[in-house]
Amino acid sequence: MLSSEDNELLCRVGRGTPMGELLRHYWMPCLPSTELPAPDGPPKKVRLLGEDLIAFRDTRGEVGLLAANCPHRGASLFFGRNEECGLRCSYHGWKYDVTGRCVDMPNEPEESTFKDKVRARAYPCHDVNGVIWTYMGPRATAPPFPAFEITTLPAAQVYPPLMMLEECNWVQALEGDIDSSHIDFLHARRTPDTRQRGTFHRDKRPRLEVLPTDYGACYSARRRADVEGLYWHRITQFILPFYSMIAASDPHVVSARAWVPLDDHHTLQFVMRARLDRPVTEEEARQVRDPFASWGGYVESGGEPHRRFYTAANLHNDYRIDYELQKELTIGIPFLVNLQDRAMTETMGPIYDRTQEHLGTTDTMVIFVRRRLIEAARALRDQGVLPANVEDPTLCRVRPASAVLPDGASWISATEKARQSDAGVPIAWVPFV
Amino acid sequence: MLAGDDNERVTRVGPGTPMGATMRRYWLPALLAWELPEPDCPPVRVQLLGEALVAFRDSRGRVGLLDERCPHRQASLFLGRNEECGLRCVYHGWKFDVDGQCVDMMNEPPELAFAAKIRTGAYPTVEAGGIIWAYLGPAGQRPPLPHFAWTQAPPSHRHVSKVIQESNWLQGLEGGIDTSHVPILHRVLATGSARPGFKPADPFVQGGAPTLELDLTDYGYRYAGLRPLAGGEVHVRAYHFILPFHQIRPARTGAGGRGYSGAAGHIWVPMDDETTMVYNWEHSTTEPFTEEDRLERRLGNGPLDVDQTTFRSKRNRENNYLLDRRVQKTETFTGIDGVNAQDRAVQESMGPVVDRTREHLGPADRAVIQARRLLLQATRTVEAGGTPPGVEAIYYTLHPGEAVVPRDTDWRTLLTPGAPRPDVLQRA
Repeated sequence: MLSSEDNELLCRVGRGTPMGELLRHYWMPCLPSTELPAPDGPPKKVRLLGEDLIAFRDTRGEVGLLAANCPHRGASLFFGRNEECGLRCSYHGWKYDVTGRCVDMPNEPEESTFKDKVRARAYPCHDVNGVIWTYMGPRATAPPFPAFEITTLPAAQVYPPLMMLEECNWVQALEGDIDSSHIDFLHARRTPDTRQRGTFHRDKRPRLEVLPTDYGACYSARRRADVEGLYWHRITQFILPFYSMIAASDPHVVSARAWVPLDDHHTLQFVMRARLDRPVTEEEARQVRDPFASWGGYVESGGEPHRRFYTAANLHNDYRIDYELQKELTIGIPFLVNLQDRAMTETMGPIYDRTQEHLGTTDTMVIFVRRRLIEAARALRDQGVLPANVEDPTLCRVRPASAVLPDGASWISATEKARQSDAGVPIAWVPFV
Repeated sequence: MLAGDDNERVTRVGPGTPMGATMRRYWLPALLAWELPEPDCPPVRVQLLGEALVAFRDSRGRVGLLDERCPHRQASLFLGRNEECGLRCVYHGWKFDVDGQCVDMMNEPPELAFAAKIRTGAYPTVEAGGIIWAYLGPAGQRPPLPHFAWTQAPPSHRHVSKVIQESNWLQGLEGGIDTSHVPILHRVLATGSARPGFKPADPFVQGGAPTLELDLTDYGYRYAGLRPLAGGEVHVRAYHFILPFHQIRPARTGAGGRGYSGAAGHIWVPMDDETTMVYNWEHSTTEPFTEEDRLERRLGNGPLDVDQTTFRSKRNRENNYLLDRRVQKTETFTGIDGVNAQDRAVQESMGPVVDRTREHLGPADRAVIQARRLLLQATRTVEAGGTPPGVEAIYYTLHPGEAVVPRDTDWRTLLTPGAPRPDVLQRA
């Protein structure tokens, strides 16, 4: 439960809000690279942290991300011409390069130096391993780029990102990923022998333990294993400001999941995954491009950011709930990426009112992460202090873990190496579903 | 660039706002005359300056423009019966004449004479140039009738249409008095392309960046964009701005395809702060318009492109104006068909009311800057009890001009009636 003031501070991301300012100090995923497939291709509308932006790939392949409205008289650069290393506004022909510099102004006299005085707001972009990242913060030189495993492994080993638009605030979407308890209910199959994909654990009362870290936190959810005296620890990472790492369902896959706020009421989920053992095959890549194909796929977006990666099964049709399916699963919605989660988190409302809730022991991590985010936003606002992982790009070189340990064993010491990307140990993995 | 409070002042037009009070001093286009084709025809909804109204033509052919809501219990008179010289509310049968007087009240005893005491809001109207104009202002300050040259032309030689623009009126008007964008936004790249716009060989396109010259007048201003050409000549295109929202420009459409056609213009009439009804008119001083001309294919404002019931453009914000990026690469600057659809695309993309605190204006925006100044001044004049510019009938004979002339020619000489018009269009 939060006060209404804290809830506002936690959720709002517009320019000038405490949380919005904190998020702007981080590099963040913006678009899959496939949205800008070729140099001089059509520019794309982007919404990020409440700002309307236009992304384009210039003649040399560099990605630009500009404020949507032309600095001249505010027409949208979406209608612009992407040509000869710049995006040219269709209205009066002012042209901007990827850094926002105005490089041509064909409606003013040739001798005029006006163009040298005009800059479009431009955010630096980094296109790596299938995702375009951007930095929207105040520094002239962006902070170091985060060295996630998924951004540093060879591109051939990286899957295309799994994408899903969510029609609610980013925090409630993120909270679903650091709430182990719901997997035994929301994602469960009703009997062990159904063919439907779903969890089935006997112990549905996990004990949570949080380990605060300098990049955020990780926690273990401990459940009794089938063998007497053994406990299953499912260990999840939270990395500021909006990343989660869930224990893999494949012993060779590392991942990072980002809950990127498009604005206060829309979130774009990126599930970024990479293999440690071999390149991703074309067939594997093809499958993840439409992970919802069996349940209606994505709608045609028409280029609108609020409809990009928006599934045909959504809030407005109850996710196409199927009551036949509900005989086999807790909920009559298939376990595809975070679709079941979305049915829960979107129906909380566009911004969940946390003054009305009742939290228990299994919400320990949710409570911790909210506090961590609120404290980080306040520390920046009041003292100008930033979390350590803004400056240190290696702090995100961590992994989640899944391990079966004897009663009394410390998961913290037992998984210490497994939770580091560079300790040279295999992924700590036990079968999940 | 404007201060935030000036931007509010100059854009908002609801009842009680400074610009709303100013606009209510002029005759305003309310609907097209053909929307009320005959006596006792169905009434039509009209949205004007944030007010919900209903227009009807009574049994004697007179046009009424009433508050849409019945003064009894606020049901819409759009649902009403137009019969026997009045519009009758279908809820309880109250009936109003074109002056707003309640003339029948079938649910109350006649001996009460309650009807005689009830009036609904009614605005005076006048038909001119195929448009029904309305006056929404104080009774004692009604201006002379809107007798522009084009509203006085015979129907065979004038054409008028309308289309909704999903933005504030002022950013629409600003596009209309901004010569600098025209050969850029509306440029055709491929010589052989049949798509509408200005072709590469057109002197309008060939000319360099324009110098703007502007004369303030008692109706607003006249101004010209002067574009130097390689041969030492200059391309002139001269316009008029008449307060509060009229543009007069040299025509290039319709009969213009066969030679110079006279004049054309737009009127950006606010429906509310975020929606504008754009009236498009054209006036041929030579040949009559043909049916083909009236399709307005080039501008994209005619019945092929705009739904003639809702007046919504088929190319609109929802579908990105049917922008074709392949066409944008190879044929036209925007990849959008229809010259005015191109205008609406960029103007609507600025947002419902553009934030003018964020812009960067240069010398090419001089006419835009001046129009804002005049409009802001007009609101202060009205607040001080004065008469704003443009209400007097001094604009009857304004002519636009376009020509390629020697560099030292005074462009003003092109604006006099009967001035020789070097036929630039045919050279293009």
